[in-house]
Amino acid sequence: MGLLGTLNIAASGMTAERMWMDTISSNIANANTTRTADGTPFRRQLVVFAERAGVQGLGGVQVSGVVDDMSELRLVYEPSHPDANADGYVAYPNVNVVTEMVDLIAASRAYEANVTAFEAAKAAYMRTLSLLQV
Amino acid sequence: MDILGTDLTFNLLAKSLEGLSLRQQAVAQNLANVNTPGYRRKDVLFEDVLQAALAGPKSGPEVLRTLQSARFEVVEERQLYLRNDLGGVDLDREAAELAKTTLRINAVLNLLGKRIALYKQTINEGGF
Repeated sequence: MGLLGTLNIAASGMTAERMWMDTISSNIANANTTRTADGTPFRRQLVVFAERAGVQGLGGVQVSGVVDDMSELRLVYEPSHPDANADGYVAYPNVNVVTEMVDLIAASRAYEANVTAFEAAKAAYMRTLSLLQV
Repeated sequence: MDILGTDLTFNLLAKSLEGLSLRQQAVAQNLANVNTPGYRRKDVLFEDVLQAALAGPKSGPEVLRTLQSARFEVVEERQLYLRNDLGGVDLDREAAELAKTTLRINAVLNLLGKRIALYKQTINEGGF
């Protein structure tokens, strides 16, 4: 593993954080989607991060799943909407754009942290290689 | 008898580079798991292993043998860093650890380079 192991670990972190950012984008894009492929309103999606075991427990991170947020949907009174129920209420997704924005900042900072680790390992590796230039 | 194999300084530097690169991996693991709930931070206490190898009145070859057989372990911190998502990683602390490890790696690589330059000079000046 050595220094290249650090690159793999940082890359796994970058992949996982990017996956989270993708999910956040999808949540924001579907903040008003009342009809998904199976006919139900869109539900906010959450990524689940899990540690990946490797040599000596250093295998990085992985997204073990993307799950639906089962909290209450937002009901809005819109009787003329095609997806309104018998009482005239439309169930909108349980997406709060402000929450998504906060998550987006967290994901992007965590991504940057992994990039920093990646660059540190790359610089160390390059310097080690230059020792071989006799 | 090969020269580099019996050079204590050279071997010590190489071993500490091994430990430092493992610590860098541990820091990368901590940074990768900054958003993993319930994660406990990892560290490598390689300085203790090196000190133990050097401690006590031992002969040169004996120190070398202990040094070469020394293995570094990744340890898990017991204390959970209490964040409301139970994540165990303090980003600032890891950033500091990464900076420290990088500086140390640079120092060790510089010293290794100097050592190699010394041998190179010996080889070149010794002959024709």
